Amino acid sequence: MPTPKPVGDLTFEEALQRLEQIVTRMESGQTRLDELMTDFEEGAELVKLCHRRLDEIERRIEMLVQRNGQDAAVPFPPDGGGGEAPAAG
Amino acid sequence: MSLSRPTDDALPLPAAPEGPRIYRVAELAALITAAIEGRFPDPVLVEGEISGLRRQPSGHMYFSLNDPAGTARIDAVWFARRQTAIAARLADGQQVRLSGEVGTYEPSSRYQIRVHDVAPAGRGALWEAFERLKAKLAAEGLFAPERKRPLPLLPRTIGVVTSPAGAALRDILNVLGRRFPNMHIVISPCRVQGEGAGAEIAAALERIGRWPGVDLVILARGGGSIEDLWAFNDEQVVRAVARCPRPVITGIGHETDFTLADFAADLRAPTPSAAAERAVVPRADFEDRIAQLDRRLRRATAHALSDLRARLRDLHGAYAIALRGRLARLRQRLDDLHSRLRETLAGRAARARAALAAYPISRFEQALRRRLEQRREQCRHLDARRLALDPAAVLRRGYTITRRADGRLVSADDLPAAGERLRTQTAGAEIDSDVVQIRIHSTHS
Repeated sequence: MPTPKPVGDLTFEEALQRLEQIVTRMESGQTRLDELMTDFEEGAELVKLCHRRLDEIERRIEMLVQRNGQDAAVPFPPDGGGGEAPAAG
Repeated sequence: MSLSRPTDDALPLPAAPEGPRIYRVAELAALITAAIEGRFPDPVLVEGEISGLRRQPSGHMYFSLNDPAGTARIDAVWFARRQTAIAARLADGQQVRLSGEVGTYEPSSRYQIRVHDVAPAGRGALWEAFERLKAKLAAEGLFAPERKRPLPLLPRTIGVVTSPAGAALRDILNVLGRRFPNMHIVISPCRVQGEGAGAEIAAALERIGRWPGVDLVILARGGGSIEDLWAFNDEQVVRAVARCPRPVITGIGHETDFTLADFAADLRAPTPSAAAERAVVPRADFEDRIAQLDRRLRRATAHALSDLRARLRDLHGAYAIALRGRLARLRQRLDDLHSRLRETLAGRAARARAALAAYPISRFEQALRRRLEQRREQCRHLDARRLALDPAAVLRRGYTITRRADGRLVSADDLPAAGERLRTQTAGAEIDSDVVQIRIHSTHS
């Protein structure tokens, strides 16, 4: 089975797909003992990776502003308040 | 528009000295017609809303033109031979500007406008422009289904193009915050209505499309009148949506509002909140799915392992049975041999005991001694012969043995070559020597 990317480089979507594949193959019951152990280890690693990908998205709300002719992201709302009242545009 | 009062002498209403003039109906109708027709600019232009539109089998089209205030109405007729392309698209409720001539219809004494041409007006003009642009962009393939890109399963960053002051943004942030609390959101602000809003929206789309990490863009505006939403029909906006390097979800206005930006988007959601819902799957759903896969992974592994274990057990069982069978056969054979041996031995012992019992002891002893002495003598004799044959004994008598480097004995049949190294063994020493010369004396075979 071709695995061009090492597991740690997979995106969430790729990792989830790969995990589905592995689980489905294992459930089909045609796994040899040596494959079984590598499959299980890879699957467990993919589960961990999926959780990590969900966790690593950083909770942040920003707004693009022009600064010296360049786009820059500043926290939104600008005063860093409760997020209830959006700033006037 | 100025309307000149008809002059008295233009009207055939002569004073009748003998009493009031009595007209026939047709006469009066003709007079009225004459009083109206030709007194207005030709053509006259008038704007209003169409109602009561009907098309006759003859192809003529009848409708009324209504004042927006609802206080006045004029009938209109558009004869088949004068109709232009727009005639097929006319419908009740449209705002139109029509050109025509004011006339009367004497059979029922009604005045009406005989239509020359119709153009959309007000909202109607907007829609006309909308339809034209839509057809043009569709012909370019901007709305083609095969252009629609799939949305990422999990966007790392969601770009939002909208007014930072609008209700749309508040709704989107609420929905995203509820579904995926740690979502990273970047707002690209712009005005969403008014003069120049189209250019601002297009620019905001460009900026967010370039921003690193943005996997998905939401273009949104809260509900409003169709005029409020009109910026989203701007050609620049439509092109910016189509050009955006990341998939775009639109959530503009309400369920019933369709803008050209919606057609160009990868996904059209009916409202800003709905757009946010389509942007990301709730985090909890992802977690459920992962947990489920994790459970399936462990179950499948356990299953496969117990399968293998069972197979191993089966194999082991078959082997043990085979082994036990072989062992049993061996044991049986051993038993067999053992009992036969015992029988033989017992038989021989019994015979020997019987012979012994029959022998006088002293004779037996004498015979035994004699046989012993004979055996000893035999041994001594054999030992002497052995000693005579022992090479060591030969060496002790002063002979030597010479071997070649490979251990072969030097003999008349197997002579070494000159220069070859030889090893000579005596009783007390070993001598290594090199062959200098070989002289052959005689032939004895």
